[in-house]
Amino acid sequence: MKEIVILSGKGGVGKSSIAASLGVILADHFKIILADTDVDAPNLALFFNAVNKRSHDVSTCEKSFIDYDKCTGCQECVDACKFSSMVSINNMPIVIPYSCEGCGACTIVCPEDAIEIKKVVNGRINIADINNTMIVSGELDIGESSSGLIVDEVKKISKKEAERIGADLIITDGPPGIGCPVISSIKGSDYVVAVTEPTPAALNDLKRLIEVVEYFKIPLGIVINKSDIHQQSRTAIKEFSEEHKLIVLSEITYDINVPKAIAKSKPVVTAYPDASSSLALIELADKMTDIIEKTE
Amino acid sequence: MKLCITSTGKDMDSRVDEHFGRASCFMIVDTATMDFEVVSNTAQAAEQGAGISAAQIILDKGAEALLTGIVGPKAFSALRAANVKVYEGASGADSVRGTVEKFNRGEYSEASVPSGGPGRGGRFRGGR
Amino acid sequence: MIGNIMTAEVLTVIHQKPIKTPIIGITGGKGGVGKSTVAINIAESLVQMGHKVSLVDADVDAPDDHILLNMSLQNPMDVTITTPLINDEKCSKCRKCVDVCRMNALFQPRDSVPTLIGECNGCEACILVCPDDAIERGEKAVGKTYMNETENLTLFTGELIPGSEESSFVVNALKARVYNEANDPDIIIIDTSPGTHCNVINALKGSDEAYAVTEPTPLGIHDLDLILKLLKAFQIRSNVILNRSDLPGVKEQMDSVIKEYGTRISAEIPMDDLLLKSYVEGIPVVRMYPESESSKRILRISEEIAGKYIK
Repeated sequence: MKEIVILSGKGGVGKSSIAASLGVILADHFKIILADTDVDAPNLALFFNAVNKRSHDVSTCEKSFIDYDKCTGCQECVDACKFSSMVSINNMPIVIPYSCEGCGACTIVCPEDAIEIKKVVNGRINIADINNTMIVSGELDIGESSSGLIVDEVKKISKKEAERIGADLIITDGPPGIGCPVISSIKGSDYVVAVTEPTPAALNDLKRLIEVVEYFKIPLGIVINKSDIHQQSRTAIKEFSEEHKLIVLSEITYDINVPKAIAKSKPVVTAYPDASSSLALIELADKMTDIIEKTE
Repeated sequence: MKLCITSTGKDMDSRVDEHFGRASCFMIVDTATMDFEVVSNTAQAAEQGAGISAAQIILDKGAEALLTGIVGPKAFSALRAANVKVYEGASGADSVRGTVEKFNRGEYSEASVPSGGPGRGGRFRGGR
Repeated sequence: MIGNIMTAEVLTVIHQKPIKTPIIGITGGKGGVGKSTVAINIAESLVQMGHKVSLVDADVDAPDDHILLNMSLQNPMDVTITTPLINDEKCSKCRKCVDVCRMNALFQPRDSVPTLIGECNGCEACILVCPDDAIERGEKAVGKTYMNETENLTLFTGELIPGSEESSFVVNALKARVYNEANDPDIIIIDTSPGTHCNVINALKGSDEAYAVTEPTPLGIHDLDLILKLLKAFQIRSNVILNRSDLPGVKEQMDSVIKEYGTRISAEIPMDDLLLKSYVEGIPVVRMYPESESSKRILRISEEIAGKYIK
């Protein structure tokens, strides 16, 4: 069983849209599962008609809880907290849960043993059936942290489901940026598709992303989306790729059918199978098939 | 010697667990007598630093060497700091007993660098 | 989780700031909708009106504002966290620090003092628990802040070291630097990261008002719902800027979300080739093409902000 993760560095370059279409095309060749690890704003399921939804809460972080029956208001905890998560209101300490990291420093200094560190729910895993496959997505509750660990859960569960249904390929729509959730998405995968667009900001973020992926020694290929919107940047990306011996898998020119398909909540290959982007995506899927079959 | 083997179960016929930090449990085996102690892995549920916590657990139980599938770089550093020898490459297809026998026949070589790559450690730490 | 204890008193403490300068947050759950482009152009047009502006790029994971403004980052300052340095002579090897560390970052070899092997998050619990006063404060860099000062626009940028997890320290250090070093601007504009995680809140804390940038697609609306929920929980007044407003979209869904949160669309910016041209040049569209449709719409937003907040 193999996993392809689709990342971008920069948000909004078309990662989810490409992941959705690749999922549809590759489902013809492989038994696949789709996973969405952009837990901050999971969008992949919006491209499909998801039914039979089931979900379970996850708790990947801990927070402080004060027992006010024991608390005497000495406020040692307020001084001890390095995360600005213990504030003093009317001479009593109050935990600011969104920034509390559950480190327990407050419990050490509390002379009354009035503080406990407990696990809290900070998100959930949603599983739904779509067409002839399933999608496993993670969702971080608003204002929460520890998204990387929720991504770990999504990966764990999608592997489990893949084994259960005998899938041979997982296609994962990853998060933007290069932070912990991206790192968690990368680990254990077999190939990264780095989607970019020809703008200076996107190229800047692509470089940062590549640094991270190369550290994990995972093979990577680049897709230049909306490739004709700026010739100079397109050239810059291709030069950069050559210098660093990176493969450009595909250049997809701007296609109005893509946003039209998104508005219909469908992958472009489903809504407009003859569109230029659909044809480019089919070619990309062919290349991906070769790559997957050759990966150890 | 006292060899720690990562195990999926509590007896010598259980299959090896290939991951160190998240292993179900540890079998501390006397390689000469085949006497063993089962140690539960309380690090398994750790959100962070499971490998280091696991290293501390087995060190405290007197392990002189570790034999497992993969060790991450942080756990590896910890074990080496404590002079615990690290052997990788144990297979989940083998039983604990079979693995000890292979070890006694010299079929595993000591790892000088962890094969687990960045794993959960290194400059790019995952989780959170 | 969030809804639980956000009483008026707690919110007052969260939104406390040491300066009186008005602060406007530019945010928006979905990545790539044009948040940074809008932020830099609002800042630039306020400068064109003769005001002094501090722009803060709090997207510490992937800060782009300096690229959109064609600036190279200056005046770096390290953001560090405290890590434990164990004093061999004082340490009694009691193991309390190893046991208390929730990151499981400390390890004690046999007959030796504990050593830091894992990732430290700077919580100092080990220092607090040590009965021998044997742990000194070391430092580890987790990111940098920068300040680019020009005559009427100062850009503050936060950047996380790739792979580091301590992004909240970087965002908070960035805000502290702004409060300390901003040279009496008329207004502060904060560009947050996409998403709705805790660092979006850390960036938005203290804002007088926020503009959520989105696009009219189902994806944009889905993520707009999340950011509006967040703004409501933190009682920050919200406005919506609809970027690429003529993209095929689902108007009814958009209207329904706007209504549900009692917010308003303060501007609609249609797709504009001139905006793209200026974006790739690293020049704000309001400077390069002031007569373009996008410039006109952005200018109106800035006039609204100036009218309300700058006397």
